[in-house]
Amino acid sequence: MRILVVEDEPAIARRLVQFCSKILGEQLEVSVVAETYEAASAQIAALTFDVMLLDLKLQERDGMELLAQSACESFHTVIVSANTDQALRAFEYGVVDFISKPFTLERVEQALRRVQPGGRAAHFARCLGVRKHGRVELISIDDVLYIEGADKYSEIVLKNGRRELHGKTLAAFEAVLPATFSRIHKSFIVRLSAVTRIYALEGGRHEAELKNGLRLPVGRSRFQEIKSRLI
Amino acid sequence: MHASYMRWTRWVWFLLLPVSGAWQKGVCAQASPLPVQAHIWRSIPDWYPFDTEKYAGGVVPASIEQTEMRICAGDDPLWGSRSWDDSGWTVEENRYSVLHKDRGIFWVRLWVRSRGDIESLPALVSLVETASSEVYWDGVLVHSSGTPGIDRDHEVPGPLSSLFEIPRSLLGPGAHLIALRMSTYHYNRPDTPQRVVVLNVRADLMASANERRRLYPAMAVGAMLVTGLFVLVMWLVAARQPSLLAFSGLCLGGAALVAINLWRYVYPFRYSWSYAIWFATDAVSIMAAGCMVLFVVSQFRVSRRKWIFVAFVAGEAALAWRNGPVPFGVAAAAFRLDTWTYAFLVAIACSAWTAWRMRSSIASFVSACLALSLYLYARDPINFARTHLLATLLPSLLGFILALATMVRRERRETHEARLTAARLEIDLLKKSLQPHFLMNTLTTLAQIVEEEPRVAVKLIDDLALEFRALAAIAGLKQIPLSRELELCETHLRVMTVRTEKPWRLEVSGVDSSVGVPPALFLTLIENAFSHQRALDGATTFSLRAEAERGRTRYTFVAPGIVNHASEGRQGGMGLRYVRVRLEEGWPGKWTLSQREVFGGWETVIDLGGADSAAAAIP
Repeated sequence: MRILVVEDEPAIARRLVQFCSKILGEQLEVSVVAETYEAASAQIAALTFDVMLLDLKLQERDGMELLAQSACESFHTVIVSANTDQALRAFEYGVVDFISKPFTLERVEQALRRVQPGGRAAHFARCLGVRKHGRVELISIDDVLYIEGADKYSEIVLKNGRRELHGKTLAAFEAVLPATFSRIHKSFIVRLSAVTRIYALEGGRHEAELKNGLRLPVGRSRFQEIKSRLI
Repeated sequence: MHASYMRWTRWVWFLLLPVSGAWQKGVCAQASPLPVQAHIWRSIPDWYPFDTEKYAGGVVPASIEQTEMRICAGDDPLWGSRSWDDSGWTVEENRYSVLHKDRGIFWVRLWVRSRGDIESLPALVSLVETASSEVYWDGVLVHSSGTPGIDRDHEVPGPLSSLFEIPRSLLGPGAHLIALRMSTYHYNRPDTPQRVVVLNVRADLMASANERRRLYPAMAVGAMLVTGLFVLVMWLVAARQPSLLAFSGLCLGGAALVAINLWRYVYPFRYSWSYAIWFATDAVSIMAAGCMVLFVVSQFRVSRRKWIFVAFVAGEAALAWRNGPVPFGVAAAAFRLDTWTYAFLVAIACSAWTAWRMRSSIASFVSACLALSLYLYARDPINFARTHLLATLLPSLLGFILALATMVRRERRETHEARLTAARLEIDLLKKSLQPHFLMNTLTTLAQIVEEEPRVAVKLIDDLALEFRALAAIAGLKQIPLSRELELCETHLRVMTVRTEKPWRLEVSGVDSSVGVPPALFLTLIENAFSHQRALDGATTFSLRAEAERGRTRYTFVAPGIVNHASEGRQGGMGLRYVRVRLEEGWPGKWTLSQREVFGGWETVIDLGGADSAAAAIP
């Protein structure tokens, strides 16, 4: 696991790195500490990370700027902050967990579990960030119809037909999306309320028809779960 | 200048008093080359309660017929007899004639007789003169007012006012001679002495007149004295407001003015005191009129009030100069008239300006009250300082009292708000010190340092405890010594040194550690720097420089680091708002705070004790 620690207080940064090292052991491939927003942005541009541990109040700037930017990135974000009143706002951006300072080893371990495969965020995101013309645009989860996986990226399809590329994988999305979304196929996460019918096709295949008439494939292994949730 | 002034005065009277008799009284009084005190023939109804002059000041009853006065310098006992032929004497048509001072003894003769029956002849004579005299009635000495003399040493000055009775045996039918043997060496004034001989009326009317003469002024003196003393004590004990002092000065000055004029009826002082008495009257008049103007300009906080008051005083000086080389003597009544008219006009102008500019209903009310007082004053300026003062000033005093009451109510509200503000500031400070970002980060750092360097951790705990104890102790105070504030800053910087692993320090110069500053003033600026600036390697020194000059102290505080211009706190966040409210609490309206980016940091300049400044406004 590759971890970026964005923290301007050296002792706290060292503590986070030490805890990650203890928890992940050999799994910890890289841990990088950035003390400023600019340094963190540079690290994100230069390297690939799986998790960013972000202090919401950097010395000279509000950490929310970096959080909004990270909402478009492929990695998960865990907030490590003393300002717990910003937790709800942070979760709207799709962060996986919010660790309040001072923290324990167990609390960091719990947060890191959420970013591993099968993990779920402590609170679900209410919006997703996409890059538009070099800027971050936030899309409300309520506007999302389904998300289609495309290799290392995903394509978010909105109710109005608009499509937006996003850096997160479907697995990463699964961790932060609310329960109203379900992964119906290895390549699709769909808003269940948008599914009107499920068609049984030849060869044991199934397709889900959405309100706009579009049909999406339903994976064999996921059919029963989808069916039970729809009924 | 004199001519233009006369025109100006005439216009004022013309505009303000078109229907009153003041035109004649005021203008004629000023135009006359003679002393003009109460020398105007008037027709005033019997029921008019205030006019005591009708009986005591200069009106000969219609029932008495008199000849012209004849004057002769020299001294001869025969000049007091009925048989002496005075046809060669100088005829003085004006009964308020001018006496020639320092010219030895001289005689004045005139004849009086009843137009009707014997009862109409005077039973009492009121004599007001600036001379010593002996009064002969048909050759019989009936009254002595001092002793006339051939020079200053021989003359014994008599009282300024005297009242005496004519024996009934001398009041027979036919014409009667009044002869006065006089000298005036103790006048003590550079101007011409005046004499008023009043052949007066029946004893009952004189008695009632004298009662009235004493009653109204006594009421005025009592009321204004008590009010003035009450407000003076208020000023001394409760609130050092200039308007309170001015109000007190107006009341006490008014009381003194009436008391001085009343004194002659309580204690008949010698005419040699007349100059001092009139001088005092005019001086007190100017003082009281000045207090009236001072009250208005200070109560309504008229802009440039100091200059307005200086201009008013200069105007008074110009009026004094206009009245010649003896400002407190010649044309004294006219001078008083000008003094009060001028003061009323200035006060009305200032309050009306405030009413218009500030949309102040109180100022409008006071303007109307002052205008009413001016109207009353102009109706009878002669008796203003004797009997009419309280009645004339009453509207203005009521207006002033209302303005003061409104001020007290406003101050009570402000005090209440200040208490709330103080409580809120205390909470703000404690909240600021307990804010999660500082406390939780420090504790997290501590958790790490405990494992890495236990001795540093213990020191951190000590400093943190010290800082919290100091903050808890000073949170409720308005000001603390600068030395204590600097200790607090240094403690905070030690905590931040451990947290950021940078050697923060505060460098001070020119400061007086004993002076008071709002609690956590500079601590807040340091906290702001950590919140809104990025530290640069090697630049870890805050600097505080103090410069004191003419009662003002300027603090220049520079925080090192790169400034984040987008940061809200740099423009008006909670910290800066706290600083501004604290400064306003300690130096209301007399502080400024300005900030700017300087090379390698952010400079904050705080000026304390300076002039009012718009920059002091709290956003």
